[in-house]
Amino acid sequence: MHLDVAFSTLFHLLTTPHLVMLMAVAVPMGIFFGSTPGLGGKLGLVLLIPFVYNMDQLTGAVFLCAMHAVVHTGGSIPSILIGVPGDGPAAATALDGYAMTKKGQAGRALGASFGASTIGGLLGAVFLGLSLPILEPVILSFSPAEFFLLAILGITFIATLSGKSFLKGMIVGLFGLMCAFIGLDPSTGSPRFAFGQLWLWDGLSVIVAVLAMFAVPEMISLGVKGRAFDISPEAAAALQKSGTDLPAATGSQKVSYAEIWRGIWDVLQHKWLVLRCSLLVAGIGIIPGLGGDAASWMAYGHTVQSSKHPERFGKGEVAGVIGAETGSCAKEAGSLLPTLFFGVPGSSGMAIMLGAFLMLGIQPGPTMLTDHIDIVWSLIWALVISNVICAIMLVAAAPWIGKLGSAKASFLIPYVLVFALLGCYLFQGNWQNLILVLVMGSLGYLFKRHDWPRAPFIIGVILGKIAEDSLLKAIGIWGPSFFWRPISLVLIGLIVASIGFYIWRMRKPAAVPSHA
Amino acid sequence: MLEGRILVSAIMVVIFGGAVLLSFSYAPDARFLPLIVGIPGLILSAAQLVTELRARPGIKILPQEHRREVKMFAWFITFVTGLVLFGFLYAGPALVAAYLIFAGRERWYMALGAAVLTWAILFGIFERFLGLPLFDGLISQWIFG
Repeated sequence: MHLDVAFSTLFHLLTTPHLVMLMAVAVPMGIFFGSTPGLGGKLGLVLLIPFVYNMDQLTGAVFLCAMHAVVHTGGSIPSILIGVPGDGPAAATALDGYAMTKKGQAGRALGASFGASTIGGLLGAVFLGLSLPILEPVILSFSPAEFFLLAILGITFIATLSGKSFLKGMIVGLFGLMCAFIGLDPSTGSPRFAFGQLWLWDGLSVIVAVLAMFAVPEMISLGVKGRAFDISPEAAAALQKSGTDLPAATGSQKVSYAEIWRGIWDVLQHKWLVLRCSLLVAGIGIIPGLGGDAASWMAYGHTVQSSKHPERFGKGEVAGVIGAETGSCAKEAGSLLPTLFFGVPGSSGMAIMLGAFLMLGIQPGPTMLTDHIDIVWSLIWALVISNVICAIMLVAAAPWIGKLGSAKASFLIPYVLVFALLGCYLFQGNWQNLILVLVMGSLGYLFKRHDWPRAPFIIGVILGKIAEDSLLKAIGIWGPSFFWRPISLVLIGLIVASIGFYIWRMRKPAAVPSHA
Repeated sequence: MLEGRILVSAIMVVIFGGAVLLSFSYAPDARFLPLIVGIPGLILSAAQLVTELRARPGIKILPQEHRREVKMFAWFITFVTGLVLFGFLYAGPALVAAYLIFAGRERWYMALGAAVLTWAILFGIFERFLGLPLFDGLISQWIFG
């Protein structure tokens, strides 16, 4: 159970002033990015990457993890106050949260959201911690053959769950894999797709791919829209699917402490619902792709199904806010599991996080359990501590919270562009990376503009090297017969099943929203 | 004019087609995986292109939205070019101020404050505190050596 490591890392985190300070800085940043529609947690992670270059592995990972853990809590604020969800999961909160605001219960909805997301985040982290001893022998039994198939499975999962078109998801995933082959071939040492450029021999940096595919398109899009308060297409689709009117107006709301406490009390009264949703979603979070936007909708769906009054949902039922918010935050811990132990990101946010981990020198895989268990536990505790800090900050700032999320796009765009480009330069010290971002960022905007998912590209870039190395090792050890190993057959079955699930879902209109 | 959705599919066909052709010039071991990935990629992107060509025309974007897209791309290119030629410490603050004045229509003193803040972060945090050397820019290097 690594109890000694578990508690020593907690003690280390709590007694190291710079780590506590960094978490206290990361949390309000996460709240800010989450609460500003049009920005979101992925962009927040991308923007913070240049700041962690010189940090040691633990400090950098804890900083990013703390920020990422509270993004969804921040995301509930505009969903509830102005009915503008920044992303798919936040749209589930908007259903009942915004209806409560219209009934004059904004503070209660916010209190319920803060309480549920904090407890959800804590229970998700506990789930991850308790599942480690059970999963340890399974993870350690994985060989290169299984890691190759896991890489393929990861791309398939993300592609099937990344939007309306599996074809587009697969093409983008394969494009990411292809880009991962840029550089020196591991078996022959000869350059591939380098076009005579020496700086390409090191390959395409994951950081460059992340910044180009996420930061640049988001900023161009924000500049085109001109406002940060536009509802995202996924969120709009999710709200329309549920029959909810899209919000028309924005404005600040007054919130009192008494209302906030009433909402927190509501969470305590729905303790079994919170527990069920947390465990359900933390378990789902382990599955790559499903750990993204779908998780909060599944939690919301479970809340409606298990309620004695399903007719009240969508009209301002506090349990709807509690279920959706618990789901949004509990999934983070679950999606950390495949990210850390298999190098297969659980969600697009985790794909960016994985890129940052690699940059920090943290190599995901089974060795995380044997050689770096201290980092694993530190990240689990970072999830717990950041959720607690977040709850304290949000409750304390409740009366002023109505003003959050009103950042001006014109101020954000130049800063994000300069620091995103700085991040691309700093990683390898190549100015040519800036030109690469120009090309790939333009392609990324075209993807965004025409509904092509971008997450499979990042996952392809990350998994490409793992897939190639694992395949070469597997063929070297077993030859082509590695496909017939028992775990390999299970993984092949899962790949086929995920494609089958997609076909089934396309034939039948699904309740699960897409996730780019 | 070529629709954007068709253009994206066509770009993917060209990328995969080019990658597959290039792969044949590599040693057998080096081209093994690029071909395994590239050929299905080419087939799938060709299928996507055919689907897009056969689909009904999409919703046309408004001329003003198209103009804003062109403007934003021009700004993006300006940012990259400025940073490549003059480096982060010189071009970074200037670009932030220029964007705020010309695109954001902010007042000059707000833009000046934002530029000073940018310089302070770049120089204070990255160069001094974190000890990370920032790119000086091709022209700046040529002028100052």
